[in-house]
Amino acid sequence: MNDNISQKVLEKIKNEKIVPTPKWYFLLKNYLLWGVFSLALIIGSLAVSVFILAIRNNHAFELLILGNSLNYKIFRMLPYFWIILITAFIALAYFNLRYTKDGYRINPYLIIVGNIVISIFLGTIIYFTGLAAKIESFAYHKIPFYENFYKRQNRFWVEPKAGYLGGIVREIKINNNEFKLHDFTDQNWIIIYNSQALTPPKALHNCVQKKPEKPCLISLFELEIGQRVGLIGEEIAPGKFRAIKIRPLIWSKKLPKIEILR
Amino acid sequence: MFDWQNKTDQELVILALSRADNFVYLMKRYEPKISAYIKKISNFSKEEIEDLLQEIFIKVYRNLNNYDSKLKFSSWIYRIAHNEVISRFRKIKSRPALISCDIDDNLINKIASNLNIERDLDHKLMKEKLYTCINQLEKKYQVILILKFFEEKDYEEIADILKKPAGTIATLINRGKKQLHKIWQKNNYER
Repeated sequence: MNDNISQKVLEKIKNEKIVPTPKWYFLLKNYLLWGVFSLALIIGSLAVSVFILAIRNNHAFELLILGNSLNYKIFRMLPYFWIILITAFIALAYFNLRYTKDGYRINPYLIIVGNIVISIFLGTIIYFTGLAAKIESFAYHKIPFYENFYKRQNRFWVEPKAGYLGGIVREIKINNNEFKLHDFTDQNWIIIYNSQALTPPKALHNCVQKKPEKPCLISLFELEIGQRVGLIGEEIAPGKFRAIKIRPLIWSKKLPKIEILR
Repeated sequence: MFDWQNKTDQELVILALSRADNFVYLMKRYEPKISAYIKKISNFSKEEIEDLLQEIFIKVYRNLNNYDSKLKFSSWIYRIAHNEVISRFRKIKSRPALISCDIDDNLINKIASNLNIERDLDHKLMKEKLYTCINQLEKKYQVILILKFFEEKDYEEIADILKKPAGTIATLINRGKKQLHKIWQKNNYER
């Protein structure tokens, strides 16, 4: 055994006044890692909830029914912003957990799969609370690049010659059943519609089939300025579109229900 | 005379934290083992090893408050030593070939049995063959097999030293053994 090394180390400790790093530093570091892990998990779950909202509300499958070689476009319809966010936060959660004191003991695949499962579970719960739409609306109005990203993402809605159009409601003329639309490629349109275009057809059909003694309530979508909508119909003139179906692409309010009288 | 040899590692840590001079007992206990380990996984000269040992012990001293008694102290100090050696490799931008070092006949037989390789009657030849083969292994298997068979650490200890899950260590050891066996056959060491 080499006493020389021990002596040199002790001399260096004394000469350079080296002291053990205080315990609170290591505790704080560990708590921070756990804190960031938890935060990443929560944000990932929020992103999952908005992903579910976006998938359920982009009405992409109605466009698929129209045909027009949309099959290759189905990948464009996925909400990539939220997919990237989910992936980024799952990765952040993973790396933070791995660097905690005992995190290395857990199989990395288990961490990733566990993360995904928890995010989906929590995200689904958050979606059903209605918070997802508020988060998406916040992102749309407050995050500078998100609006552009959203518009670019939803350009698959802008194919008026094929019978569909998507954009933002700008001005509403209720008496004329007309509104102005600013589409996702920044073109302006006059949209002509009737009230049936706002009624979900499946809900109406189910309502008609039900027994007369039961009340028939369906949700009616109301147009609002700033609302993002998808339209199915036909282009009747340059800059003019007749909508036979109008769908909200994202909505944050609870839709009012009306009773259908038979 | 202070009977430090009968104190546990945890007791020596507490003593070192109360007074810097007491750190000498931990260094006395671990200097030979760590020095031998560095020698096994590197081709550093005696001076380089001494220099590295000093850095390792300074780091151990600075991080004493981070030592968790749930972990074996030996695993913890081996982990610091291992990381310092890897850092040194990165600084010199190369990883020298491993050198042969003294291992007794019992250990040779044990290793040969564990690795399913045929024992050579000549101890010296056997050792050289083993090291030739270990040098030809992928880097990730070299250290693990050295920790397992030369340092005689168990899976949990290796997991704590290398900061990997125990399952991953078991897989790496199995793969390392298979690769070593293939290299042994390829070198025509099987009779």
